[in-house]
Amino acid sequence: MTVLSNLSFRYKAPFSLAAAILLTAAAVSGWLTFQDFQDNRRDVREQASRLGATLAYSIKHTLIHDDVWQTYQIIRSPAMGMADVADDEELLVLDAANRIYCSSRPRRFPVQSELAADDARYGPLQQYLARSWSGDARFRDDLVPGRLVQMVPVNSEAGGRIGTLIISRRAQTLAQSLRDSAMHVLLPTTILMAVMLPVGWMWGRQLAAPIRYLVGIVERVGRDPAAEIEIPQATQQDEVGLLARRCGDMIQQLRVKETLEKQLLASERLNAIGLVSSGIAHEINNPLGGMLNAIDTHLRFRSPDDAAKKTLSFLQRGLHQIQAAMAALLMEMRTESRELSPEDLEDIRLLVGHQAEDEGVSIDWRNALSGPLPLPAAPIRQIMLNLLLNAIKAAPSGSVVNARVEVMSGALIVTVANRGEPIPKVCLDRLFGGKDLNPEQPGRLGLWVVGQLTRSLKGEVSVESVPGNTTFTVIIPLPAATTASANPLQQPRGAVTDAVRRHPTESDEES
Amino acid sequence: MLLAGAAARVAANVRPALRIGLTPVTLVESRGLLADWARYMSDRLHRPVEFVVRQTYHEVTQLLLAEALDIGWICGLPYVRNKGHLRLLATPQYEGKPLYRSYLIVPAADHKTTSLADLKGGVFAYVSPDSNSGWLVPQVDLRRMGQDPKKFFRKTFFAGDHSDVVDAVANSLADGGAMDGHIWETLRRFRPEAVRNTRVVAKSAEYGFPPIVARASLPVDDVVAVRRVLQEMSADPKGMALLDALNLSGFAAGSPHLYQGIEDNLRLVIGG
Repeated sequence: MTVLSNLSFRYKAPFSLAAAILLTAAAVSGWLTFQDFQDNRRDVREQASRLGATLAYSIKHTLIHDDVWQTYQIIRSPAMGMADVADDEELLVLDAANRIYCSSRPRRFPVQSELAADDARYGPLQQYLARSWSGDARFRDDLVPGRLVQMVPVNSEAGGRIGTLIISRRAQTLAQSLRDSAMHVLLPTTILMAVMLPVGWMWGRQLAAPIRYLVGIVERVGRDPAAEIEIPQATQQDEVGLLARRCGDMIQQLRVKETLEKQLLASERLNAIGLVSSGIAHEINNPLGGMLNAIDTHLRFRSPDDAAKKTLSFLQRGLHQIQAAMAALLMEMRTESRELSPEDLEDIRLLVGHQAEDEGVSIDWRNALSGPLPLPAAPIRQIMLNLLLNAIKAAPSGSVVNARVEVMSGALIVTVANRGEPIPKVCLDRLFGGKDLNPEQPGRLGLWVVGQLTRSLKGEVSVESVPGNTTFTVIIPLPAATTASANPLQQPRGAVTDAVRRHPTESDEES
Repeated sequence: MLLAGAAARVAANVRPALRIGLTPVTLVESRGLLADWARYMSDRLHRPVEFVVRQTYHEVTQLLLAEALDIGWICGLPYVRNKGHLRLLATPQYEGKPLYRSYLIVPAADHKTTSLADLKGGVFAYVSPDSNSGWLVPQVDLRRMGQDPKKFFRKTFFAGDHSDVVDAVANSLADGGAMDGHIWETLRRFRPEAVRNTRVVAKSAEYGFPPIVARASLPVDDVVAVRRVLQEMSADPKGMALLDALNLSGFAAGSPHLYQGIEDNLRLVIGG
């Protein structure tokens, strides 16, 4: 039983089906055999009754004329030509004294011998006839062991009994009937089983297949990451379908749990990084503040010439960017940052110019801003700087990096495109620190910062990467006071995106 | 009306059929053999010949006496009993002699019985009261043994036919039986399985072979013509083939003296 219960469903289901087929065949065969046995008894009784009535009428005249030969001819004819019953059936004609007048088996029942002279089994019948028999036709199965007996009186025209006809037939026992029927049933059952068992086996395997599929999935739970485990698909409404859906729910929950665990781990790491960074930032911010104060003092009270003023302003913006970068790194973006001006963007162009030259990449710069925008300058400078540095690094030597800054549909839209290798699809979702935030991914910290800064400004960053063209798009909504339109990200997302699509980049124009 | 019918037949030059009665005793149960024999005789007698088969000697004899038959093949006993009304036409020859014997047979499984005396108290099968070999001979034998035939056996019955006596004995319905020796030998020759379960215990003295007789009123010319055809069968290939099928060697004119032994036996039984 333990072996059976431990058996795989792969075998248990087909075995169970095969066993059901076998049991059904056995039960049906048994019932048919029992019915056959009952029918056989009834048929024997009816046949004996009819045969007895017919023969008794025929032998009446031969008994009256004391014609042994004709009587013999009459009673042996039913058994002649019936090979299947010839050995089973015995017809006896008794005279008025219940002695054998003649029989279909003269050797066993000689003429004028006593009924039980040569076969003691007939003793009870002989006694019954002599003492108890009423003289009416009777069918008995208890007077001669193993035989069914029909007794028929042979009466003269006057009504007196001149003899008795005995039809004795071997009684088929239930066991014999079962054995005979089993032989008859065996062949068709074997043929049926030869057909049904493979069908049942295949059917059973088919039934077990969903279970095995679910087992294969469940076995991976705890062993493999939940994100890599397939969520079972089930459309059926049965127990297996319910199980599959519950299994899918479980894997979904595990995925969420694992994501939360990763994010928690990442936050802990970032926290640690933040602690270190805040220390560094503190060390940087102190002299940075001093330098900014010094520049500010110099600009206000020393009246520098234009060239010095321009240089000092450039240094001042650069130092502010370092200050903002520190704030972004520490997640401490200060909202009181100054507004974005076209010069901020030109600074970035100037900053990345040397690196572009070093990489052999030219920059196609289109800055559509004509005045300041009510957006913090530092994070947008950082976004531009990171996107351009990333593009220059990714672009092949000799190619062009397209950079475009514009205001459209109430949003600042920054587009940076390069002709480098496409970004693998699996990496796209992680570029800007999505669910699987991993700022430690080599070379991706700048983009992660872009993502963090964009989200802090309630904006949206996206990337489209195909062979020969990778385009980063940052959409940052302008404050409601400065534009008639609402926050573009509160509009249907496709509206702004479509607007960007309709506004081709330079690379598109080139192509 | 009859005269008109006869005149019509004469006018058509067609003589009425010669009706010959017989029993299965002759073993001509094969309709094919009877048809061949009828055609053979018809060709030589130039008139139709019709064989009429009846179950017993008694029936054939009664039809002869009633002139419903012209000729009959019966046993010697009814011939002797009715020889004043029947005319001996021919006597078949078996193994060259117009004689045959009565056989006493028992089941083959009975290895003890050596004579009729051993069957005392048993069940005995006769052919019929009109059979010499199948009834008269054992009756006479028992009387000569000093036994009463009515008490010697526990039970007797008539099977009606020689081959039925073989059947009854072979199946042990009877412990013994008496029958025509020629029939038993013919069965052994053509249907050996029929006699396989029987054993011949004793053979009687020779008696005149069951004769072919004619009704007393049959014209002599017809008697002579039929006798000649029968006697000439042994000289004719077709006739020889028919005789072989009948297990006979020929036909002789026969003589009433051949049946003196049967007459003596009958007198003994009736007188007794």
